[in-house]
Amino acid sequence: MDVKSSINPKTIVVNSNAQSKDEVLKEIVHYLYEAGNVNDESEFLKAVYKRESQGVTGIGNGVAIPHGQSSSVIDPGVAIVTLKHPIAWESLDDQKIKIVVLFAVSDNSEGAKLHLQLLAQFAKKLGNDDVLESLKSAEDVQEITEAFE
Amino acid sequence: MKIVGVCACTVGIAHTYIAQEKLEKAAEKLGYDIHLETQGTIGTENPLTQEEIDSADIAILAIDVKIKGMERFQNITKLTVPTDIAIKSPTKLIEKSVEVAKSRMSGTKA
Repeated sequence: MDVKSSINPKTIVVNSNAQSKDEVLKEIVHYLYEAGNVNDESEFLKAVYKRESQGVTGIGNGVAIPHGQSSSVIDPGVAIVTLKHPIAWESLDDQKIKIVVLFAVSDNSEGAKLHLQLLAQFAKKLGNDDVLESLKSAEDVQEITEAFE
Repeated sequence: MKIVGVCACTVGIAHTYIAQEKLEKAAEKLGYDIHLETQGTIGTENPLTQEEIDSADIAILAIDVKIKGMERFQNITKLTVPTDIAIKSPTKLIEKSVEVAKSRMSGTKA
């Protein structure tokens, strides 16, 4: 299994209309719920906000990587949303956010080790400026997944 | 110039690995040798041996939490920063660490 195959097309959305951080987080958590990654939306959202309270998740360059670790995560995964209108978000370079990559991590890390390893490799790719550029210019789901090849 | 280091963030799923990638890319561009260990939810990966640490010129600890095996770094000059700094300004951080390493080297010679 490679990094690309760890991305579920059902949890990728291009050009979301969300207008705020709250709105986009709720939207993404809902996708993760529908895709079967999360079994309790409000519990998982709480975990995401807990992490938000601990430090900035905007990594610069218009990208944010919120994440939550919670027992409501039954299948660790990642969701990617690109935004039609950049939104305000606490960020290392004070730029507005165009891409949100949300990681859902289970409490039981032993049982999901392989999956978490893939997520780690996935996160590593987000440290690569070339990947971020391809993500930002992606027009559809396929182009998003191709950015991680 | 040989750089070693550790990346570790609060949850251990995202910042750790982004910091690793940013620092590796920045060091590569500047032409320095770098080996970074990560300590995350999945445990320790790319582990550093004592020999590697002892033969390095400087250590960068990009960490938001206490790390395992801190005692390995007792005898090396180190820069400790939050992962945010490594993600925001990787090139500056590498340059700074090289500067510190060089000044230590000339210091011991004199």
